[in-house]
Amino acid sequence: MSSLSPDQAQALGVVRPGDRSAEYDPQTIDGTITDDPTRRVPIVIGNRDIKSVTNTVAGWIENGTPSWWPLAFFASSQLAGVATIAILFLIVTGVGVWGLQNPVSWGWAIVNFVWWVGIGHAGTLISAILCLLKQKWRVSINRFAEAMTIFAVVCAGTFPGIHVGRVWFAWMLFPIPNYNWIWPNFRSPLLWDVFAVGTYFTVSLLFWYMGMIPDLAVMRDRAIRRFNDTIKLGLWRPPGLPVVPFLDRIRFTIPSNKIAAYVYGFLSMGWRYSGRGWHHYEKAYLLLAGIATPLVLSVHTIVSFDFAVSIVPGWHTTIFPPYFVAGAVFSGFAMVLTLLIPFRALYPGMKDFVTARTLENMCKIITVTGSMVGFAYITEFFIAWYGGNPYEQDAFLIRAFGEYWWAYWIMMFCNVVSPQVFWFKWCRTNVAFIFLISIVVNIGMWFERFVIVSTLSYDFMPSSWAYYSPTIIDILTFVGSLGIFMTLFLLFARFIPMLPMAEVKAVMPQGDPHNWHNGKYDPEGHHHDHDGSDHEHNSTSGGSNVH
Amino acid sequence: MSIELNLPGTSPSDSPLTPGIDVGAASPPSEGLYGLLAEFNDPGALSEAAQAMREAGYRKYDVYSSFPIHGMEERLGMGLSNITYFTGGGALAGCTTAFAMQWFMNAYDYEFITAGKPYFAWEQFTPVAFALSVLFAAISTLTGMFILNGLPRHYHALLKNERFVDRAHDDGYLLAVEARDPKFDVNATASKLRELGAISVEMVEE
Repeated sequence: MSSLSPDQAQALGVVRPGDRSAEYDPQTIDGTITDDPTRRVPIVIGNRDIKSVTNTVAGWIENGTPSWWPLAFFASSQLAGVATIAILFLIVTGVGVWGLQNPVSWGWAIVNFVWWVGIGHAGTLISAILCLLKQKWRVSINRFAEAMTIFAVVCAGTFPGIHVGRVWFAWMLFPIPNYNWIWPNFRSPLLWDVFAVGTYFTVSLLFWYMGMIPDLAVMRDRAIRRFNDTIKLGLWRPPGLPVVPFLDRIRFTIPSNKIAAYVYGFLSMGWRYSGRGWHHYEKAYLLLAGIATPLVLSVHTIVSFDFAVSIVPGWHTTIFPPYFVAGAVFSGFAMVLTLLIPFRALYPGMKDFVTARTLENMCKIITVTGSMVGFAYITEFFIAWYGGNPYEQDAFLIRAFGEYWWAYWIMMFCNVVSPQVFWFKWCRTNVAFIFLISIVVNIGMWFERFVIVSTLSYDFMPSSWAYYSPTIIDILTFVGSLGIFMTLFLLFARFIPMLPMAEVKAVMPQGDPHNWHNGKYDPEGHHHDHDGSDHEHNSTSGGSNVH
Repeated sequence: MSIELNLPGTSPSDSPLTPGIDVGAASPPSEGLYGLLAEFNDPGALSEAAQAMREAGYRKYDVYSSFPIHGMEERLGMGLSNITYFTGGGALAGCTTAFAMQWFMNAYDYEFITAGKPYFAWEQFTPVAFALSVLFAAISTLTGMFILNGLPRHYHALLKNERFVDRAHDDGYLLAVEARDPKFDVNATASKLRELGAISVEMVEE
């Protein structure tokens, strides 16, 4: 696989035949953008058949490491190392290395925790809610977004763990009696949080893993086919250095396909793609989607209880749960786009699956959830005024015009104003612009959490009011957590099929048994939903599955 | 069961099995026969074959394709999946566990006085009960899927078959009839599969 001639590659569908730029049309971009809501656009473009899906998606793993990957991995793992050192420094020294003080006893750690948990929500929304709503366009981004969920929750979970200060007491978070045989207090939202986030992580992981089993089996079978192929490695000699015969003779032979066959084989649990197996599998998948759906709403609801159940002015509001959930989905979709847009450009053929239409749909979700968040901000102010509680009113006036006014207005600009650009078609079809907005939204959502947490700096006693600012350790821990996230994500992209092949194949017209008549692929034969021009796109090459 | 193999015939065309594939046709498989593996051209043909095999009285057979084919469970004559019992049972177990645990920890073993609330304040125990219900339901759904599908099973006759490994994961549409099906007969079943449009039929060793 690693050395395909261009002709072979084209025959396998690894590269798209023809010049892509020639068919670029600013109105439809890649043929999937349409103003006609009755037109059904194809989910997979580029004249792909079933075989080319397998070859392309598996090829991303099998065709060697992309040249940019080692560099990206080096950079992100170094950043992860920074976080590790910052956390070690915290553990050996104490939480005093952070900017925490009285009254701001929750600082960046909680801001980062809420931000990361929120980001995770997009994955569950895409894999669970959009699955139940039969939004088929989700299949191309589903695995990707679920991976993002899991890695985001890993980053999130780190922060409360180290925020307890004496990490060797972190076990007190769990329902285990402490030294005095006292059990934890189940009436505390902080304990609910442990269960909510723990459940969320486990269920997301199971959902992700179950969705992956058939694709891991594909990787297993492909590795078995090339069982005896190996990778030969030598030491790298920087150009210009003299040849040292002894060093040049060092060669490693890695039985890569044997390792792959055993690892993928073990993880795929002996999956055999059987029709009876698929029946149970699909039902199980649907049920998991069903039980993960309330999780999308419940996890951030419970995270918001951490704040809302307290009696701090500006926190003690019933609007927190819905507003946190909308914000979570909002930031999660932004993060999916931030990751998806570069990966889509870097992996050959990914644009045929992640179409302009998919990105457009995600932009629309960002606008919807961003508007909900904006509405919540305004409602908070209205209720503070209408409620007539002077402490509440002050809390909000200080938020907007106090010492943290800059954070508040960054938040307002990034979360309320910026997502409104997607009302314009140019904005939601221009990939570079979407990428820019997705980063702006990520920043805005981080500031939203910061604005909420920094409310603490003006608490009940004016004598204790104090300005909170982070230390360098706070900053390095946060920036480093981005490195942990990216490191995990790059490993995922390198070793796990990024698109769920089985799901993509099942929504392709070639995968529908009703589109086949007497051995001929004929999508027009039985379908009467006048989506002719779209289907032509998909059907022209798809016919032959005969070998 | 005894396997009678009158194969190969004098010319390959006498045999309903694909000529040229060496599955020990001259000598019957020493370990026994798992069954017959047929490949079909497309998902439509496979669906029809699945139904026809069932109508012909076969029961121990299955279809193999790298993605779920719409409507296949009906063609195979499967009813509703029992996986729902696993999910429901898991959810109930999780909910019960959560309330029992919280009652024991905060109302019985160590009576926790907080904010003048009753020891057993079910309202405040609900978030954890919900979380554990979902957690147990998810774990038991995955476990149920494994149990109903007989997984994990790392050794299987089909996984040793070259055609299966080559085709099933990609765009192959396969149907395997097991030798332990009462209606199984190498020649008759192979002819039947050919009739249904199989592009190849071969024997699979156990």
